[in-house]
Amino acid sequence: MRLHEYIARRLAMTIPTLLGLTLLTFVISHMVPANPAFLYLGERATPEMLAEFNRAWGLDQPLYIQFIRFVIGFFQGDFGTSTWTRHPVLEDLVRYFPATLELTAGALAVAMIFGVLFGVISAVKRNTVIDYVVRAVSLIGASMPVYWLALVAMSIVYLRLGLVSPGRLSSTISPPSHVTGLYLIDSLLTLNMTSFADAFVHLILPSTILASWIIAPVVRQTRAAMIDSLAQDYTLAAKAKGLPERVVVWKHALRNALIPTVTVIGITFGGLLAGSVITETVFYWPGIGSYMLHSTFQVDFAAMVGGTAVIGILYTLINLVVDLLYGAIDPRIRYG
Amino acid sequence: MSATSTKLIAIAIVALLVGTGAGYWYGSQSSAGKTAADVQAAVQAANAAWQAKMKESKTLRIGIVSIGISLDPAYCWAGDPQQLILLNVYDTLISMKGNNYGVIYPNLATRWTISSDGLQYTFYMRKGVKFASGNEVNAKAAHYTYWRFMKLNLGPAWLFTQCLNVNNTDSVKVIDDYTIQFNLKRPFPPFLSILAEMNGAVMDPAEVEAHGGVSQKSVDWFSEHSSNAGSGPYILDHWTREVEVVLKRNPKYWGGVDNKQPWFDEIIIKEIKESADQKMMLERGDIDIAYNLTPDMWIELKDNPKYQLDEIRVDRYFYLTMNCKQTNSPFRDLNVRQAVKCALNRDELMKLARGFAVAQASPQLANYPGYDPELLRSPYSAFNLEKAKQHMAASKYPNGFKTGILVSKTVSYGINLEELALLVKQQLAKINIDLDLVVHAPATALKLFRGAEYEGVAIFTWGVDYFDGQNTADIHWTVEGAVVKRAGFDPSIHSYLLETNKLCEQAMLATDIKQRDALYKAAGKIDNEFGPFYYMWQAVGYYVRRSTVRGGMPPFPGDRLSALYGFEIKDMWKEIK
Repeated sequence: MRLHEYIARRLAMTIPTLLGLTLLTFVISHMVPANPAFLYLGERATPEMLAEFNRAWGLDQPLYIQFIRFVIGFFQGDFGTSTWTRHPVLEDLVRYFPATLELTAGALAVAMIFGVLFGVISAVKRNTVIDYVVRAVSLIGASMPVYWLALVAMSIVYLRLGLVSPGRLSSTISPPSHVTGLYLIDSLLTLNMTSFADAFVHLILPSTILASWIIAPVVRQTRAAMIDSLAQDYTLAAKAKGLPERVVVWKHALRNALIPTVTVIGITFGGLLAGSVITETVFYWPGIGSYMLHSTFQVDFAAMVGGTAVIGILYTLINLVVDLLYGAIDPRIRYG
Repeated sequence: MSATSTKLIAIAIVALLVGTGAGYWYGSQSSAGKTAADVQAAVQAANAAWQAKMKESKTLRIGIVSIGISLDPAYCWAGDPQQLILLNVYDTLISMKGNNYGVIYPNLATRWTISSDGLQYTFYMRKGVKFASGNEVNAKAAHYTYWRFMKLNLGPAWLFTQCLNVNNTDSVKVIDDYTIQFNLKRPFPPFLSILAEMNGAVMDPAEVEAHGGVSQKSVDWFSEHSSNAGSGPYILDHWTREVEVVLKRNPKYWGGVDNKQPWFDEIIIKEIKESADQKMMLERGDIDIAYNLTPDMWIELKDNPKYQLDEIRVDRYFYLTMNCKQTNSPFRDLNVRQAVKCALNRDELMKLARGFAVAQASPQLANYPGYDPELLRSPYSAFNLEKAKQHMAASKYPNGFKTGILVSKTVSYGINLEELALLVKQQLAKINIDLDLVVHAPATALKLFRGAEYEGVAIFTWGVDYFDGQNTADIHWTVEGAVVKRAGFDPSIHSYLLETNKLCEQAMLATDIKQRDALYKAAGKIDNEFGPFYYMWQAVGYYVRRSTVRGGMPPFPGDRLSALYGFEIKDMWKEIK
């Protein structure tokens, strides 16, 4: 099978996956015995007002009709209207998603860079003090609740040292002109280097905190794969040829160890999205995590289902990229 | 496909995306006649101007957990963030300030008259006041606003429709350019309180019409903007949900009754969800006022001269309801209800509030007509375990029973309701009432509570809708009372309700506040002995500000802030060092 055929097939498989995901979310959210009409109309809502609210928002229709309408709208780019914000859900997602994307991309980068680095060091220096320290530190990071870690980090970095405030930017820096909503990209595109530098600095801490709990599995996976790779004949052959150790480790051994590591990163990406809710709350980072949380409390069905669908799409795409990376890492891999 | 080809394709895709984005942006700039150098210069100038503005300190920054659902006066609920914003963007006919019930201040109206039967209110409006749009504030504007409010018939509309007939065009009537008249369908003493709140805000009809008029479309717009539809000291520039509300100075502000312009040019209200964050930002100076610190934080900061704590009497109280809906409910037995009241130790329960509470034995809050601190010493308010056991022995359940306690998974003014429920469970276990804890998310718990679909008892809080004792009297002491229904209480079974209902009706006809006070006190005594409610306390809280931010307190010396009205923002300023 050619690569483009493989990609097309995988993207086509996304559709039933998404349908299943949205159906599950739809059913679960409607199983909760809460009526959004009460939340929006208040304690004194009359039965007529409640009926009118339900009619206006389509909530008086049978569930299967509501779901079918959502699916039809979804494929037309209409995710419905949020009962909370009163905006189209898609508009809300476009507004809030870039912040989460930036945060999770940053966390992923931190996890990949430091996870792989520490895993390699740990494998090369196996059973030495360095190995023990690296493994202990990564485990500690994974063991600490993200919420607590975030508050402690804020307390030290922001309150005591005054280095960086919560939020995507300092209050004295104006946001870059909007192109994508990703502050780093938009700053570069609009030549606003002041915003770029400030946005970058503000991204470091929340990304690191969010990445803290996935670094441990990346380290351990990399370490295990590297130990195996370093014991292979090709590594021995590379050493016998007189290649420098760094070339042996980073070019030959690591490349073969990357496949399971990349798999772990892809799987844990979903966890990053889930963990972003807490990080966004503590770091005053208005992303999709806090939007979805608020939607849940407000019993905003359209936002819940729409947001879940978007996250599902992203998760699927990330795993597709992971699968494609296998081919980039190992030329022997063929798709089909 | 080879690895090299894959890499080349990936690089090409990234380059295409970057090129598209850059091209789109640069295209928009060059079509405006700007070069890259122009853009750079403009960016640097904008950054410098922003920094200068932020450093000038004429911006007041407030940290609040959440703004709510809407900032349209026709759709928002009484709650401190909305009042803070809307009472500074719009004006009302009359005002109330602080925790001082009964004192009404003129605002858009210079004076008013009330007919002897309490059915007709006539307001004489001030001349020469303009909206931010430049249009005049007059009786027609007020008429349009109040009819829009009633016709939209959204959540808060009942505030008006409970006393005005929406089908009668004379209910709200323009007498002349500056005189507006309300003809009520029944006497309603709290009417002035309602007009003084944010739902009584007067909007510019032209601005409202430009954004959809009397329709959901206008609600969508005004939920997040005010355009120039208000006449208050500020304009609601925008609300980015989950981020911040920005109010900018209204250049056409008439000055208010005291003919004074606000000191701050801008107010930014940031939605900071985490109390610890609010505290850190307050300490670093990134916000000037924190609305939602916890009791621990109040204790920590109260003696620190860098901060000032302003006490707020929150117009919200904690209470327990005993469900009598099911025919076999043990709480239908009066002795059981009285046993519960005697077994609960309010002082012990209040320890959860760490002193930030005012004990209540009725739903009438401090300073409201009907507030009766003496009731705390009544036989059915004071803790008395022996008496509780005697009541249980005299009831149909001398050996006790097992039932449930419903509570929502919420922390309200520093009180974890689940923790409170556990304490109640412990206390009632002493009279052999075994409670199973039933905890739900707020929306679910509320649904069960509203339908009286819970078994046993429930703990909730109630926040008043307007600053008058009638609000809480209505829900607890009348036959159709909202909370009475949640207790499954029925006058055919519980005849005391007919008595309290009658007293409340008489209070509605009373023109003298002392008479209303006496009537509500009488109803409170009956409820205390026979009712299915146990009132715990009124919440007390603090807004914490940096000491450099001055002013903004209600006019009476020693008066506390009311959560309903909040600070007098217009009177606030900041010391600049």
